[in-house]
Amino acid sequence: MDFTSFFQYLTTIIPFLPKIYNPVIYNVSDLVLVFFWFVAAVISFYFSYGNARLWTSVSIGFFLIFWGQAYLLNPYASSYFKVTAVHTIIGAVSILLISHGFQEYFLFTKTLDITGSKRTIYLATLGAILLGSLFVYLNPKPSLFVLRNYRMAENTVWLFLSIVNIFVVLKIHHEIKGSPIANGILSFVLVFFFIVIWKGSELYLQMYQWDPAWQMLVEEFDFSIKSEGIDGAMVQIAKTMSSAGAMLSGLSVVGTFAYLFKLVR
Amino acid sequence: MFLLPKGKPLVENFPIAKLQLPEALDKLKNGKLTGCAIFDFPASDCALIYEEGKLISVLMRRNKIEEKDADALRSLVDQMILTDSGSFNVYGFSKDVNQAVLALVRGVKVLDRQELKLIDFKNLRERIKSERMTATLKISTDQSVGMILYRDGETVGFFDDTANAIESTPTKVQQIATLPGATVDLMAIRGNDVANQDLSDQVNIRSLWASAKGGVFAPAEPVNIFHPQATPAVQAPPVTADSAEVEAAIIAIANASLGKLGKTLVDKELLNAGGIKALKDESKLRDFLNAVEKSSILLASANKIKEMRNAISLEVEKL
Repeated sequence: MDFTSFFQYLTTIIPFLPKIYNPVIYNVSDLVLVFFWFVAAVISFYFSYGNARLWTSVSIGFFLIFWGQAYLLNPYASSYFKVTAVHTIIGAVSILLISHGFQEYFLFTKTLDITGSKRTIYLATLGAILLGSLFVYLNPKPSLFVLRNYRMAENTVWLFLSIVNIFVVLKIHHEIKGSPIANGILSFVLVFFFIVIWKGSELYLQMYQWDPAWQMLVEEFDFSIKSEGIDGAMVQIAKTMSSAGAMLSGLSVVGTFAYLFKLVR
Repeated sequence: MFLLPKGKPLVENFPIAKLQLPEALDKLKNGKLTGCAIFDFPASDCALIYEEGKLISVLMRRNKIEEKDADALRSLVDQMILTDSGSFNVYGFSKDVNQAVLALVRGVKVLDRQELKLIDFKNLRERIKSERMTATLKISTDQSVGMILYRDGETVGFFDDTANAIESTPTKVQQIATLPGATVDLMAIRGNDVANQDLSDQVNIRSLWASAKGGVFAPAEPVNIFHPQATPAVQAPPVTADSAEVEAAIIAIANASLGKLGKTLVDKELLNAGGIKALKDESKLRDFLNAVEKSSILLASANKIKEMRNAISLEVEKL
């Protein structure tokens, strides 16, 4: 879908926006994905309203995923390297928050205590994002190479914590078996499984320099380097898994929260 | 033998001789059963209808004589003591089907063995719909019986004597309706005339059971089976229960509502409250219930928690 004229119109009504010279074309699947994350963010925020604070962590985490995904669609993302770097940090903060929520849930199943305030979660999130921003600000402007490194670090954090979360959710389910909400919580295993597929295959492509960002750098800087095996079936499989995993994780989050709503109605 | 629709089988063909009635009824109550329990004796039958753990109706049929509610429960105890054969079955229903079954058991007979061919059937169905009847329409021949179950005028299921579960299609019932000599009964309930009663609160089954077990043929002490509010003229003392029994009941309620963490949660909050007897103090009871509710929010829905809270409060009243 061609959004070039839409952004060109934006630059006429918002004068400080840089001019758009290149065509802005989105895949429908990218737009659908962002829409799913938007729905997931709204529904998880609504779910957390009036609920225990661990749902606040989880819902802010899912909202930040939406934010990060939506930012990547913005045509100026590649123009403001520092802002893009901050958004990569926000991506890592989002999975940290979600993991924190599930760790708190597991602790609850052991102690049956609900402690702490939601304000702490909001402030800690803000603090983490500000710290990340300060880190980016104090360092030189990141190049495209550095941004790719940021992205790799983010994917590593996501992959590692999603695997941990699968085990934590299974443990929680074991503890709360028989309660009305138990199967809803178990559905998060599916969510994290799809996230592992999504982020894991993306990381795999980055490690072997088969990712589009590296290919763009090779082209831009005329490296004349060809990543060995880029035409192999594994690369195609990983690319398909990455896009399917992204789509399914968004969908499964929407489905899981809808199911949770049904269970707690 | 009653022909009642069969829902989700929870207990089937359990020998009555092995059944401890008070414990069995406690399990149905604490398990928040919506459905019916049927005691099938050689010469009589008894059907208990539950809604979310509340015993809302009892019907005992013996030698074509019907007894209802408290009288039926008393007869049930007698039958269980006197008879050592028979089977016990429990079926779970959806709330809508349960109401239709309630209509079948204790509804007003709107139609009584009317010949089907003399009835404008379409008109009858429109009447059920327009009057939003909660009813069961029974179509019988000498060989077969079919039922159409209605909730607020809408069809919620079909059943016939060869079915093992509620059906969603009317095929078999339609076949019965075409048989020669088919007659129609329509039993309907209006409003929630029995929805709010819980017979297990009004009748002390445990005392009746203990008294009957103590000596069937001995001149038993008269047992006041009703709470004061049920028979205001006879001021019977309120039923009190052993604190261990109340604690066990509270744990069973929490388990039924919250799963296995229910017990841990109640144990923990009872410890904080200073033990089960401390709950006689109204403020301690309130604190206990608030603490249980606060943790339950991560395990169950608000409605379920409210029901659990009410059920626990009722148990504590027995202290």
